[in-house]
Formats: sequence, C-alpha cells, structure tokens
Amino acid sequence: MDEREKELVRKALSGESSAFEELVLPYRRSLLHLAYRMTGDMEEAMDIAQETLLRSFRYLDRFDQERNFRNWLFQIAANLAKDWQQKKILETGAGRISIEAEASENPGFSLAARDSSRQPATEMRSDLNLDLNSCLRRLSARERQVFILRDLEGLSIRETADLLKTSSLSVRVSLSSARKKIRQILGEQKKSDPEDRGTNEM
Amino acid sequence: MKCKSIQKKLALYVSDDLRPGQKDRVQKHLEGCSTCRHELQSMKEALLKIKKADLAERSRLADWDEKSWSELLKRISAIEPPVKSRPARFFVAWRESAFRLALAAGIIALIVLTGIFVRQGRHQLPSTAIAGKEATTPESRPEKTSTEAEITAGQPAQPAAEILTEKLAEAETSAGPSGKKQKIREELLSGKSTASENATAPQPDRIEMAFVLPESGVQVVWVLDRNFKLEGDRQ
Repeated sequence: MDEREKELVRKALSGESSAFEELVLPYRRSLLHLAYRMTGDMEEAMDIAQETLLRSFRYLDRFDQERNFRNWLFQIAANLAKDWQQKKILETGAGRISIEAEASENPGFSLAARDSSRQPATEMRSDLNLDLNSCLRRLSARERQVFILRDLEGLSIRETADLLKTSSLSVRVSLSSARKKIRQILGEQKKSDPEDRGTNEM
Repeated sequence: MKCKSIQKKLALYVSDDLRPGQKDRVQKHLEGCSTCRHELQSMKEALLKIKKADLAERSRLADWDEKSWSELLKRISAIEPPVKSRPARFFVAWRESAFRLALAAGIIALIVLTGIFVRQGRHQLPSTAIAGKEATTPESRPEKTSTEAEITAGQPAQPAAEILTEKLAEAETSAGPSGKKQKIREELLSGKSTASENATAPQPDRIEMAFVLPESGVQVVWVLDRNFKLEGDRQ
C-alpha cells in the first residue's frame, strides 16, 4: 500500500467519506467485474460489490496497511460471493448441481441469461464466440475462485493463497485442475460450434 | 520422466507456476518430446483464448451507474466512522503488548487465588466433617472412648510379655535346669495369651514383674503402679 493510500485510509478513519471515495474509486470497476465472474449474475455482482465497499468502510480500522488494498477488497468480495453461492444452493436444494448439469448440456447457458433484467448471454459473448461464464460454472467453487484470481485478475500464487486463506500448494492443485477443465471445455465447444453455426445459417 | 507425468505439470508450467526443480525437469523433457510440446501449445492457446474473451467482455461490462454509486456513498457517509464505533476494540487492543501483558498477569493472579481457595477448602473439609459426625451421632462417642481404651490397655500388656522374654533369656544365659526354661516358656506363652486377653481388658492399675534366681530358685516379684513406680516387692 503506497503512502497516498495510507493517507486516505487515515482520513477515512477520521470520518472523511470523500477520502474513502478517492481510495476505492480506482478499484470499483475491477471489483464489480470480479463479483460478476464469481457469481455469473450482474445483479448479484452489483449487490456484492456494494456490500464489499460498505464492509470495507465499516472495518477499515482492521485493515493491515502493509497489505494490498485491492486484494483486501477482493478478499471481502470473494467471501461474499462464496456465501451467496452457498445460500443459493440451500435455497434451490441441489441447485448448483442442476445449474452445472444444465451448463454442461448447453454451453450457451449462463445464469445471467435466465433473468430478463440482465444482459442476455449472447450479448455478453465476446467476438471469440466464447461464453466465459458457462466455462467458469463448470468448475468447482474453489477452482473457479483460484482461476479467476490467478488467470483473470493476475494475482500471484502467493497472493491468491493469502486472499483465500489457504496454502500455495492447495492453490497450485486447484489451478492445475481448473486449467485442464477449461481446456477440455473449450475443446468441446470447438467441436459443437460449427454445428451451431450451421444451424443458425439455415 | 514419462510423458504422462510431464503432461500433468504442463497446466502450471505454462504460466511459470511450477517449483524450480520441477520446472527444470519439464523443460528438459520438452526439448526432446514433440508430443508434450504439442500439449503445451494446446494449453497455452486455451488460456490465451480465455484471457482474450475476458478482456473483451471486461471492456463491454457495465460499470457502476452514477446514481447507484452516489447512493452507496450516501450510505457510507451515514455510517459512523469505524474508529468511534469500534466493536472490535478488544481485538485491536490485543495487538498492543501492554494490554496482553496486563491480561496475562490478571489470568495468572486469578489462577493462583483460585488455587489458594481450593487448598483452604480441602484443609477445612475433614475437620468439619468429623465435627459434624460427632455432633450428629452422639453414640459414636462411647465407641470412640472404648477404642482409645483398647489402645491404652494394650500398652501395659506389651511390657509383661517383654518381662517374660527377659526371664527366658536370663534362664538361657544362666544355663539353669531345662525344666525351668520350659516353665518360663509356658509362662511366656500363657503371658502372651494373657497379654492378648488384656488387650481388650481395661487398663490395669498395677503391674507385677517376677524374677526367678537360678541359683536358689527364689522368685522375686516387683509390684509397679501404672506409672512404673515401685510400690513394693515380695519373695
């Protein structure tokens, strides 16, 4: 954490909310993006991002200023996303299993596409014709967390382990497994895409 | 190293996430194995594709709208600054070594005081229990005194046996007639049995000590009171 951020933390702790805004502004978009990747749902992502910032202000006095502030925000968001997922599983019974089964059967499926208020999955698809959320949904919760933090957010193995409160070895194991699955999923999509295109053209 | 083992490590090798020793072994194997090089290339392409897709989506992903952002800031400004409303003051204070020392000293003092009270309680317990027993069962008093009487009555019986033993020893050293020795032995045995009988009898007031002179056969008896004071003698 640089000196400027430390100064902003000090001011925020003394009650200057404008200092807190300046502190979190550079990370608000990446925070929202992380929450979206972890949930696959833009509305939930917004709720999680807001709750993350509220909590970070509430517990700012507990923040160790030797740490990276962005990683601290990510840690809160990752925990909230995990809680959200567990709540979702409880609410829908074997919801996660059925969602994953649906996702595996239909590579174009994503949670965001199920709600009319959210952007359709097709809109979120990149030019590479890849639904990233559907790939991520086929990973286990821990594999998804590790893959997003290490490969999409660019954290190191050590930082990822610290953030998830686990060992570097555990992160390596989950990361290796996640990457193998992702490659396999992409291979499956590659095989099914020409058929899709052919159907659309007809 | 076999290809299967190497290919398991490629998922981490691709981003330089292997430990140095493993990385060198994989690198060495890849130099001479086109199959594994092909696998590595496939893994690289998959990750690159994912990262490109993520970057492309990131640029299109909606940012916070200003309305929800300003609403959030309003909510944050309504929260009391964390320093004043700190429920975790204890945890923060815990970090301070002075607080930890004070707490540790307090715990030690508490343990010591508890130990003292427990020990005092143990010392008081037997005496109060006996007092209670004596107070609640008055019948136990005579029983107790009779036991004391048994013990005190046993005490003079013991010297009587000793006297007879002395007599026997005297007779043996003086090399007198064996009939006398036999008599003393019998007396000793009967005396012991008397002593054992006396053990249950009340405390005697007088004790008699008898000596038999081997030369003349004269028996001298000393009469002693309960304090072993000579009251008189007879032949």
